[in-house]
Amino acid sequence: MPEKSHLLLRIATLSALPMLVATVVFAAPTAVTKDQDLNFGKIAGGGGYSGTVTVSTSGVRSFTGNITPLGTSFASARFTITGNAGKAYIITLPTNFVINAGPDQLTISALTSSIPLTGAIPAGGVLPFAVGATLTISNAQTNSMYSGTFTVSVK
Amino acid sequence: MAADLRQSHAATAQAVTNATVVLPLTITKTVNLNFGKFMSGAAAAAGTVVVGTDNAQSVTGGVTTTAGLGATATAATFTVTGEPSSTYALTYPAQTALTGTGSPMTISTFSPAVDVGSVGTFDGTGTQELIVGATLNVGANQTAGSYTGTLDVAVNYN
Repeated sequence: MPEKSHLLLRIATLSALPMLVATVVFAAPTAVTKDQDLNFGKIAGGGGYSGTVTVSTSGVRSFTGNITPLGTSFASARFTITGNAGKAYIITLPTNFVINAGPDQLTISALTSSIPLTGAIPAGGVLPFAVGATLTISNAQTNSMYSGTFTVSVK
Repeated sequence: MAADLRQSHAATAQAVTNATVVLPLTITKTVNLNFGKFMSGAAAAAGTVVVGTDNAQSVTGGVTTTAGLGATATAATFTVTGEPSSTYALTYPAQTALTGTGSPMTISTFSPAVDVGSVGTFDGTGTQELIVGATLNVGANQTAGSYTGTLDVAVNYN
């Protein structure tokens, strides 16, 4: 009987051992993709007429000065951030950039974002946002089709 | 225990940006609209004086004229400029009055040259000459004298 009681004690000790589990979580890299380009549309300007054209983040076009926006085809830029829900993000937009038609240039400035430039990725891990901007047209602006690119970075 | 591997550099995306600048429209008068000379009252009836886009004067109703009287009639001529190959629309006033010694006379119809009409398209030069004839309503026994007025023509991209 002394042997039997010793065995029982051993089993009881083994079952009381705590389970040790080690986990390593690899964070999905935060990514950003472009969904839609920025388009100011058609504007009558130059030839003595100057002003600015703004496309808001919601895609509404407005203007200052005596230029005349024309047509109905214009749009804000759209992007999507993906990453781990809850992870902080920082969006960086350029202060200004230039679009070209040969040697002629138009300056784009005052870029705006539809979401705060810093925040956290929501549940679901997907965060779309829009970017608007303002275009400046000089009174000697050449009539042409201007095009260029800008880069958005997200950390 | 969790290990969080941080990004050491930012993710980026590039967007294209487009804008098309077109020449503003201009419209300049080069020749005034002139109905020339004519006579009213011989038949004590109202009538009209018409100036065609070829500058020819013609009359209807109680208005009479001669070749000599009508020789000074001219259709209005405007020069319209804008973005080559763009289309534009012209707007004429519904009615324009000429005032002078007697009761005002009204222009009731504008007749742009056939190939332009009220909507035009610029060719590659971006310049278009617009010739506009018109019809003037003349009252019965319209008082003799000079009558003048202004005619506003507007052009817009469409």
